[in-house]
Amino acid sequence: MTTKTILIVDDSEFDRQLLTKALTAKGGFKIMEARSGDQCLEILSTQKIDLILMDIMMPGTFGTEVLMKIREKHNPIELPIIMVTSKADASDVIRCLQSGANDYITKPVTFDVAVTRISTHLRLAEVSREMSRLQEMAALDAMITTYNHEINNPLAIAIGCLNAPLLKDEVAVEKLKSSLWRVADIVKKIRSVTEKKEAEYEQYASSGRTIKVR
Amino acid sequence: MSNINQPSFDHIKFMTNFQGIEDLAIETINSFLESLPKLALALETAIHKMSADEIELAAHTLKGAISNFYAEPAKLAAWKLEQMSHGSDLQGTKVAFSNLKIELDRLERDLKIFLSERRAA
Repeated sequence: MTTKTILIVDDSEFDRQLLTKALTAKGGFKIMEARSGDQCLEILSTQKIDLILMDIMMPGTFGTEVLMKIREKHNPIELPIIMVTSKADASDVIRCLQSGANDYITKPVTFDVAVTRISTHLRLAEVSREMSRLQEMAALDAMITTYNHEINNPLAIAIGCLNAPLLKDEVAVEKLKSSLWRVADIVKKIRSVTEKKEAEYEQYASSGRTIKVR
Repeated sequence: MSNINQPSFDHIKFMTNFQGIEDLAIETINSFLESLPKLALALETAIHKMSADEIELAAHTLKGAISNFYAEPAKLAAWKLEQMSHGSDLQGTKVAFSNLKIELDRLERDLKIFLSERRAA
């Protein structure tokens, strides 16, 4: 598994550095830091980030404002966001979750809890992406099956016509026949590919493991 | 008011959080002791300026740093200041800051004792 990159957004240098060191040591994550909402958005525009851990209260901005800006470009599946709050006020937490946060943790941050929550959201994001790929693959399979059928029908008719008594030029007929059989062969191969995919889906469903579909 | 009967911080909860990374716990205490004057000064300056926004932010930041040590008395004193910044009368913040200073001094002293005991062990 590749090392995941977490972006910590907190104006407090002390809290930011402590979290960076603890999550690196306990979770093995690669950590990037931003001291403001603006810096967070700047980093997001140039770097690949797997999850954001963001303080709810920063100077000049409330965490939810940054959160909503991020959600304009990144959905909760591709980029999970966990808010960090020292506020006991439930309304702040609710506001964050309604603005697109995936989860929240409270200060003081219990490092083991933070690592577990982060890992869970990273795994959920991975499974969601895998499910999207499988759905994409299923749609492709359906499309291939349809085209296979659509090509096969006129092909059979065309091959049948080759035996008609009016076709005189034997060389041309042979060439046409050979070409049409080549197309038929390709159609057969496409069909065998989709049949194989169906078998892999069954294996996926029974074992519950993810499979490589690409 | 200071509650001298209550420990300034919960060293058991603090060290439990750093299980397996004890060196970082010591590093964190040292880093906090180094940052504390700056954090307290930011709050004191905000109170001197009577700027509600700056008081709120400085008190909030200090409270966040303190909370890592499960230092409830100092955390409560910082929280009171943060709450006072929402009100219209900021005069009371001076007294609240004096109370916070007492708790911060106590916390600083106890963290230094904790460090020396760890070194001796």
